[in-house]
Amino acid sequence: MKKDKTYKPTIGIEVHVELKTKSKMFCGCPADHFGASANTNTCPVCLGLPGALPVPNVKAIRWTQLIGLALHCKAERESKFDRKHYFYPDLPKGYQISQYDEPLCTDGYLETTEGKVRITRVHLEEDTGKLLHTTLEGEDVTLVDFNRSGVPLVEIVTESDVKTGTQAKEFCERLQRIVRYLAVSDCDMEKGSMRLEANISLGLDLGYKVEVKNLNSFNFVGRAIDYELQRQEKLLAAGKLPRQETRGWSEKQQKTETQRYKETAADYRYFPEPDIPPMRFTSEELAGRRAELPELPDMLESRFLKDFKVEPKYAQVLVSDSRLAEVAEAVFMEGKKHGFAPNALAIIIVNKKINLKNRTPKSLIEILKKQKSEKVQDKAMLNRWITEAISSLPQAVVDYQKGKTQAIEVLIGKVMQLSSGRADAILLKAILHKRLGGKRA
Amino acid sequence: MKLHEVSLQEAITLLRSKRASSVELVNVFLERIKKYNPKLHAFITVRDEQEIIAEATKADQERAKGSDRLLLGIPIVLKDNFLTQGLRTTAASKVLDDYIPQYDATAVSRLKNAGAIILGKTNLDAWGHGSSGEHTEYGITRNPYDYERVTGGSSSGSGAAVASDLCIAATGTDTGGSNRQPASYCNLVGLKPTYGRVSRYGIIAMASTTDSIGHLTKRVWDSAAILSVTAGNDPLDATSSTEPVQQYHERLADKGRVKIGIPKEFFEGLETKLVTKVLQALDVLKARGHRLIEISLPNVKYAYAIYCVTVSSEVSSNLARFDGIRYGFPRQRFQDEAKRRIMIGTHSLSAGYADQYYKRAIAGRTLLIREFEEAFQKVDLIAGPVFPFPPFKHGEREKDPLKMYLSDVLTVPANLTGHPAISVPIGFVDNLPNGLQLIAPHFSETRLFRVSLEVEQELRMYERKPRLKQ
Amino acid sequence: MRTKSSITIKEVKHVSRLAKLSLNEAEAARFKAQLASIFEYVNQIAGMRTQDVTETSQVTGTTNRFREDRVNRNTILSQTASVSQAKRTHRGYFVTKSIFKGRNETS
Repeated sequence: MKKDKTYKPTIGIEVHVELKTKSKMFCGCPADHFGASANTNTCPVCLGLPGALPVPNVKAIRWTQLIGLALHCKAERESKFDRKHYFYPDLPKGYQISQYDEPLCTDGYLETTEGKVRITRVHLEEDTGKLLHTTLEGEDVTLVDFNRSGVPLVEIVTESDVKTGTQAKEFCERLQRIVRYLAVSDCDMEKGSMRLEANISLGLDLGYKVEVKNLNSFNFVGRAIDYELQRQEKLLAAGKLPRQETRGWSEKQQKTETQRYKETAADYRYFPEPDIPPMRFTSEELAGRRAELPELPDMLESRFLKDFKVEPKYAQVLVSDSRLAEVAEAVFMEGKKHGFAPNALAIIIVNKKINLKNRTPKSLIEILKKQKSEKVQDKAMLNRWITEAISSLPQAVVDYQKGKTQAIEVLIGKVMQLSSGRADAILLKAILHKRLGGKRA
Repeated sequence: MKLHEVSLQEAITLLRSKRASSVELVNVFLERIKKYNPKLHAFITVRDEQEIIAEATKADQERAKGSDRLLLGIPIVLKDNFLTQGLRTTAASKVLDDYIPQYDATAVSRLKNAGAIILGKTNLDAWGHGSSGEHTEYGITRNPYDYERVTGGSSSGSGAAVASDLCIAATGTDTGGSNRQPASYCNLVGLKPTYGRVSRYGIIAMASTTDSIGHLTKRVWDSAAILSVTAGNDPLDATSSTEPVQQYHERLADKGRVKIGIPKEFFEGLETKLVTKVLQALDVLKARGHRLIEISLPNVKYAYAIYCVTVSSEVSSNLARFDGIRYGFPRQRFQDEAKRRIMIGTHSLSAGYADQYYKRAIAGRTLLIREFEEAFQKVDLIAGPVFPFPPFKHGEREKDPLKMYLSDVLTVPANLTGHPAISVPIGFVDNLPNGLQLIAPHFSETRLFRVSLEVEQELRMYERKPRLKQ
Repeated sequence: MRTKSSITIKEVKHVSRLAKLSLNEAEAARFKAQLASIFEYVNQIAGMRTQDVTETSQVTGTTNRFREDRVNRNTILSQTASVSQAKRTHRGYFVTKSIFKGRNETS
């Protein structure tokens, strides 16, 4: 290997999202398996009993198309399921019903601050059962629970466009936000309804690719990628080619390790699923699906920033949940009628963790109006309280002027205490800034 | 006419007119099973006698109250690849030697709902792999008309059971000829309905795109009646048709004449005596006013090759679930025939070979289907023999698997195209039964029944019963 | 173009591994001969003009056979029924020999 060769981080991400349909992908068993006793949400189909046949869940198909469309994909007019063959105890039929060459959606993208990540495909498949490893009477065994077998799983595959750990993390966060907006999945890494894998190399032409699994949180993703890029670079610099293999991230050891079990055979012998007729969608149907898309977080965020002039950090919080964003917008509109700036409202909603489920926008604005009228806005009074706060908390002043902008909160708190909460917060902050003269928060 | 010899139609008449009871019927069959099955090996599992008699008693009581469900109190048997809840189902393989299913196949539920009483599960070529009945681990089924010879397969036990009057009728599956072949060799009516006509849910899958769920009966009316019970859309089978179901047994009288296509390719290389019998049967139809038209189906010569690749591929996939973890025994118990088919299929689908074998075969299938569709533009039925040769001796064709497989050449086309087909008895060649095969356009089972009924009425082969040994 | 019509012992063993069938040497040799003759027969499909012909994966002629997203209480099996046919079970789980050698971990 040339030592002066510029290595290009080439990372692709594979995401699996468990859909929160009521029933499983190919049978009428409940899809919600969290906490259920082993093998209680099972039937001949998801147990792979002889003679059982799959019938596809139409909602899962529509939701997969929504995910694809939200990612700017093309929703294909023709699609089908295929059988993917391999043997493993958690795969009851000895094959997984998935999609091979005619996935439901293709060719999309997701923008990140570090660049666009292209999405190759979004397809639908069934989940496997769960394995538990234990010892019974001194023998190492594997226990199998098929409650999860057959739950609909959407697979999203990117091109190798990701370049850094931070970009990967951002990609995952944005994807999660979009999927949650669509309300098709909890998309929760801890619950397993969102799973990640990354394919990492330092160049597509180098002839190897390392698959990394066990990425159980977004932070793990970032750290694992950073670690892998370093590990691979060291090997290449030493003239060695990284082995094409599957590795797992160990949070304990803070490194990736070769995985213990053997790679399953790569020859999946795909062929069209004979038990399920193919799918055909008219352009009207697909247009209808596109019309079902809610306003997506990126668009919403953009509007909050540009139209409502909400500060980015508050906009991000409000936009993290589609219902929160919807109500927040209603609050802004209502607030505007009474002279409240949207950003001010955003700050109050976020900082005071206002539960918008319990109040209508109108009622919230009424309360704030009342509070405002009760607020002391007399500058002389405010200045008196500020002087007292400053003299009682000299360290806070010093800290603030040194650049620790958070220190202002301590002073604000003191003024609030002195004024029994009646000081007008916004006016107070403005005056305090001026008087302290340091860096503006 | 002895009680055990009655056809389904006759049994229904007897029961409805109270000239016989269901209890009498089941008792006569249970006795005959004890007497004749040990040599015939028609059954793998016979249900508990007390249970059967209790069901028959209940059926008689129900009838007394006025119920007239079509199959009320009628004793039938099921091929042992139909899942029966609580009743052992083996597919004639020791892999499933102790498997007791947790659910009923839809076809089974429908038969039970129509009042049928299940006497037991019949023998077959394990997993449906075979056309002789020799590939079973539960004793090779003997042809009641000649115990040295095969019954034909894979629905071998069903053929033997009905032909020996051990029951009224038997279900079967036909993936490459498995209902038509034992029907031809055992002097019975064997039906392969249109693919998708009868639900496959709960039937151990052999080849998902060709498995057709049918039955073997003594008479054409019987076959039509049973189809009206089992046919129909099933929400649990995405390949089952939504085509409306007819009361087929009520639509057998018709004066319509049809054009019957005789493909010359179906008669190449066959034993002369067999050809003569088939032509004689066709003359019967001609005499009744139907037209015989010579046609050519050149792609039929590739049918077996296409079948071999596509069916083995699906078999290799459908048998992947048998890993011994959730049911059954481990894969080591698979016998040679199953292993061979699994390997043919796996190889045909494997990387580097899928294009050459699997993909080409399924493209070839399209050409075969087109050819049949074009033929059905010109004719209303296609006719021919069922087997290229009469019932052979046990072990005669075993040595060379390929030779064994080629006995299916006449029956596999209808499985590849999905068309319905029937085998109706037409005569004995050297004292061995023989059938005529008729193939019809999709969902034209009524036409199959009407025309084969004419053959049956004229030739009355059902009158010739086998001489059984104890 | 000459297409390979013979299957090698290596391929037979590879196929048996893919299909999780264990074959001894004698069996492998026997199957090799049988498979070779079968594939030789099958090769005649090359005589069909299949270029540009759409493949038939289904003979139903239908599309879009779906089910609504509803729980079907009639088909769910109890835990007892689900595991009733397994050779080894433990507290409602199916049991199989460990896929690992050595220590235990949850997957």
